[in-house]
Amino acid sequence: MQSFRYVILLCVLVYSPLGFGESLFDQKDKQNHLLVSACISAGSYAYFRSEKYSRFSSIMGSIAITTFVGSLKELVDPSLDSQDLQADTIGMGTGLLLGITFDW
Amino acid sequence: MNLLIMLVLLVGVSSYAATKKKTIVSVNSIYNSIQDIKLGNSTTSSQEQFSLSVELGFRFFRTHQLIIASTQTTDNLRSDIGLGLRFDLPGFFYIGSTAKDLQLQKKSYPVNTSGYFHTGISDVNESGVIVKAGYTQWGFTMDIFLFNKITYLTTNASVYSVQGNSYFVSGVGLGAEF
Repeated sequence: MQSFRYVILLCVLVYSPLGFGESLFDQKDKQNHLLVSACISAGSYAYFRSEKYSRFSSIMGSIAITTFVGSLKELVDPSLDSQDLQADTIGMGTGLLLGITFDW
Repeated sequence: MNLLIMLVLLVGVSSYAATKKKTIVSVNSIYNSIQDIKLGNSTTSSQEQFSLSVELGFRFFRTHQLIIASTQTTDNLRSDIGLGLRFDLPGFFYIGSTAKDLQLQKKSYPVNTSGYFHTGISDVNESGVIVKAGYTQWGFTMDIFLFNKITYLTTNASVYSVQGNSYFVSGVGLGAEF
């Protein structure tokens, strides 16, 4: 089961950015969005797990917090960019998968 | 749609979040629809707008939160930042309840209702010129906890006033409290 998780994680990490082609992840800004979102979601997931919340609750909490931070960043920017939010979502998924895979 | 959900869930539920509160911080991300409120026989047509808003709340009393709210419309014509209060309403719009009422209503229904008010500064883009104006917003929120005690689906209905105009705002979003 554990090795299966690693395979899925590897596939997501490798193929998710490639799936969007040159339009999205060639931009430095989007890469930053992805990276920061992954860090926030993985960190918040680990925090909730350390607070003895269930895995499901931790995932949901992590999604809410990462969405909040991503939205806040868009509000601070001069204009809303939906591609930034897409990058945030993919980063969030990647971060969560990291947390779940390593069973934090 | 939000109003419909509110009406459907109006019967037979009581406060959940307000009874179990040990939380300090809440965060909400909400996607809103904004419609102009027309009075009298006005025939001018107005376009529906959409906005993205975030709210950060700090609970300073069992049922009261200090909230910082920020909103930006998707067409980037208006952005606000404001400060206000949110107060949980134990049960559905059960105004005037006491802490004892809260303790008595410890049915674990995963729904919480609250009222809120915030006011602040709005930057309105009028033909390329940014005009600053004061705004106020008040309304009701219903939070539905999604089978866990951290995250909830939030819906709200509110009235937003800026530059002498009033708008009806309804929104759906995701929130968490911890």
